[in-house]
Amino acid sequence: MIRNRLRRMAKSNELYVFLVILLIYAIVSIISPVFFSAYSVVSVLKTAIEPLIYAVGAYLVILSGGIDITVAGIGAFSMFTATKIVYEMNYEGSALLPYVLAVAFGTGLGMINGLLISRLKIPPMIATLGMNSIINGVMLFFIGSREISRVPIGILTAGRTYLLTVYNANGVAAPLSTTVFIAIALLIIMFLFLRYTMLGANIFAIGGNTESAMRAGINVPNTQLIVYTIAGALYGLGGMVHTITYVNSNPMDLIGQEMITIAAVIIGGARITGGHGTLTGTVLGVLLIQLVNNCLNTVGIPTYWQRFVVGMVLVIGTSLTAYQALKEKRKLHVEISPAPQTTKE
Amino acid sequence: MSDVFLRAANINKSFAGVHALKGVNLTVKKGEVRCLIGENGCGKSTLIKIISGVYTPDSGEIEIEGHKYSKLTPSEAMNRGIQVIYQDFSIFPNLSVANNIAMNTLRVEKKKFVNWKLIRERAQRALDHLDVKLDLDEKAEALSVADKQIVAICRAIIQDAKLIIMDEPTTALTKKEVTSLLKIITQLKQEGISVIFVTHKLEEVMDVTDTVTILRNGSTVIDGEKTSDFDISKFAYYMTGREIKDEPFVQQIKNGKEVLRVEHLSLKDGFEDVSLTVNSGDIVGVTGLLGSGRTEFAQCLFGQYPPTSGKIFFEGKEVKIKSVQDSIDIGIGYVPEDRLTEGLFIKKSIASNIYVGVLDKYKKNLGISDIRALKEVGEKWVKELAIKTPDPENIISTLSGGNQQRVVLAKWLARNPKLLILNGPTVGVDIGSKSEIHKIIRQLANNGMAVIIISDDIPELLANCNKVAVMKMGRIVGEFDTKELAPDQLASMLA
Repeated sequence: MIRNRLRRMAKSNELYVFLVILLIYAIVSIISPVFFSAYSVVSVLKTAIEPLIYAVGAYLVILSGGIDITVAGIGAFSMFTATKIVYEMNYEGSALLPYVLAVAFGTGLGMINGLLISRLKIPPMIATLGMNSIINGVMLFFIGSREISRVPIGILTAGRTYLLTVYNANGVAAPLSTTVFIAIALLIIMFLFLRYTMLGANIFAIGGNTESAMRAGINVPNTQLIVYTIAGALYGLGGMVHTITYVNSNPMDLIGQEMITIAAVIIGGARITGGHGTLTGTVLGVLLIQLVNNCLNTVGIPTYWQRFVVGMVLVIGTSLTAYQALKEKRKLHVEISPAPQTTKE
Repeated sequence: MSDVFLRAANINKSFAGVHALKGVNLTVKKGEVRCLIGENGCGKSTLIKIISGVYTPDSGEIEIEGHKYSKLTPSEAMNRGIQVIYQDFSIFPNLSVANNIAMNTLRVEKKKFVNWKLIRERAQRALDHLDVKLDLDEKAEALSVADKQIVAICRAIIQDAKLIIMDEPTTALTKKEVTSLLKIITQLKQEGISVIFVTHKLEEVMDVTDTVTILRNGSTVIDGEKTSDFDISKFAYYMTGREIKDEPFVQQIKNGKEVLRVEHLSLKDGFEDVSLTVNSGDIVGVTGLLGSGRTEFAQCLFGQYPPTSGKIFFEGKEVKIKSVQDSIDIGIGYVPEDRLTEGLFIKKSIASNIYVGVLDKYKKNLGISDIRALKEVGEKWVKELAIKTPDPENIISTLSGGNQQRVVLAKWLARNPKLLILNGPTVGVDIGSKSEIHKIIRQLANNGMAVIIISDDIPELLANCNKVAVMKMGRIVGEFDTKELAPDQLASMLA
């Protein structure tokens, strides 16, 4: 039993991603020893909070066998509209209201995704591609897209509340925002949800084999609806975390986020066909991408190369697993008898 | 009549005007193992779906343990203890053995939360009950076919199954695995669980089942008579409504020109030191159990796996087969085991499935395909092989298994290969079409083609081949003239 468990662990994608993270950390630390510090760890963590929240949403969708590219659309719409509302209201309360608004917008938009996919059976790729366009169009036309840099006081305060701050040798600060608690709480809730609720078990089931799930009496459309709704809510939440972290609400910041998010989930070991992948893998995938970005900064490579590198990580990472699967599939399994037996002529 | 578990009476069902079931009757007693046979399209699967509540019959009555239903829902059927094990086992490949076995019980109990301890306990209990050992944490996709089936059976048992319907349960099992499946079925029977066993393999019917129900063209021909009163030819007669005689193959071209000769051919983890000669006019059988290397040998000749060592001669000249294209260019055709996924473009027309093999031969200027000539090729072969269709432009999935297999044959015949390799040419093909396909193969050989049949269907090999090579653990352990061979002798060589 224990041997089986070790064997499974050795094959697990999470382990490889974790080793790659350690490897990158070690290599960069050797190239530039200043990197080996609490400062760089916190720098990676603080930038990982927002993408992690998106990634958990995208992970749920991919786990259920779907795909959702409204990450940036819903995220930007929710955070910007929420900020704009509290801004126009001259609201002076805490960040709670903008959070609630953003999550509500995200929930509503996610639910529309879910309805299109589960009720009208529109392929998820098409449904969310269309929705992303619609959301962006609506935002540009009705709400505008001029960034709000003089954010309401509640958002400002929340953005300036740090859990801890570390400094590098030059005295540059890396503050870890209290939004980290949101990410931690989310991970705990999501872990419990997926492991201990029937709904969570059903998401794994429909991602593994939709036909069997229907035969087992699972309400597949409702499960899908819930998945896309939760995902939408998380994109809204992530968007608000963005505004709070950067004390600035600019919808353009999120452009391209959907691809990075999906990349993180896939690098973390989730299969695009659904059913496979863990929360731990998703966290590691996000950390890997953020670490790569951070390292490129440290080594002094311009930001536009970051997308190139993320793309390379994705292509190489998936090629390795695909190659292994291919090799496994091509392998023959005939047990050949040792010595030539007597052949009758 | 308290010992009757299920009674389906006078069931009618039509689909878009096609009368699929015409007054079908089926009665199954408690603890009875019933075999349900019939040709493809006779209504077996429709009947199963009605019993399990997936389809609603147009008229008729279903009675389960005395409760009458005119309309049965899938969950009612399940609550009453009817469990279907489909050919794909309805397994979740991404989930653990324990999850696959026991999660459904929580779903039925309408639980909101997952109690993993309970799931493991229940799954373990089911496995212990059948006296099998499986790792509860292993993912189902890593299991062998036989183990997946065990998981499906366990899942059915712990949901208080009283009637388990198994759809072609032995198709992908090795002989040993079939034996242990039969042991499990016997055990279920002793516990009072009824089993409906749907199969194409008539030889099995005798070993396993008490009684038999035969459907033909949507009507019940036989319901619940003792299996021991039948033999294979009687089954065949009731299934098809006519006498099927499998006359032995009379080879017309004896000592034909050598087409294929392999010498000491080996493939790593596939087979070792295989030598074989096939002449024009020969039908050579290659047999062995699943995992004996027979399929790997065929795939190697067809270029799917290049050999590790040894020599291949084609018409006397040494050839190197490194890819499927090489093999086709030399003049080899290969009809794969799984025609649906490997042999056909299932959403394309019958004609295009035939002419796809000769696209390169009918070209106009600039390399544009000559569609008209290609369609003629399709029509010609539809006629030649008597493929039953009103129009060659119909899509291939409208055909029955036997006719689909003819299309796969036609695709190769259109290329006029010198050597045709058939892997399980009649697997999943019903008995009537089976003898038609055999006729076609014999005719090909008698017209000068060299044919290799890979099969574990011993009667099929004895009736159609002039020579049989037996493989065991990757090696050829014997080569026989079929005239000098008794069926039992071959069967014992295999084991």
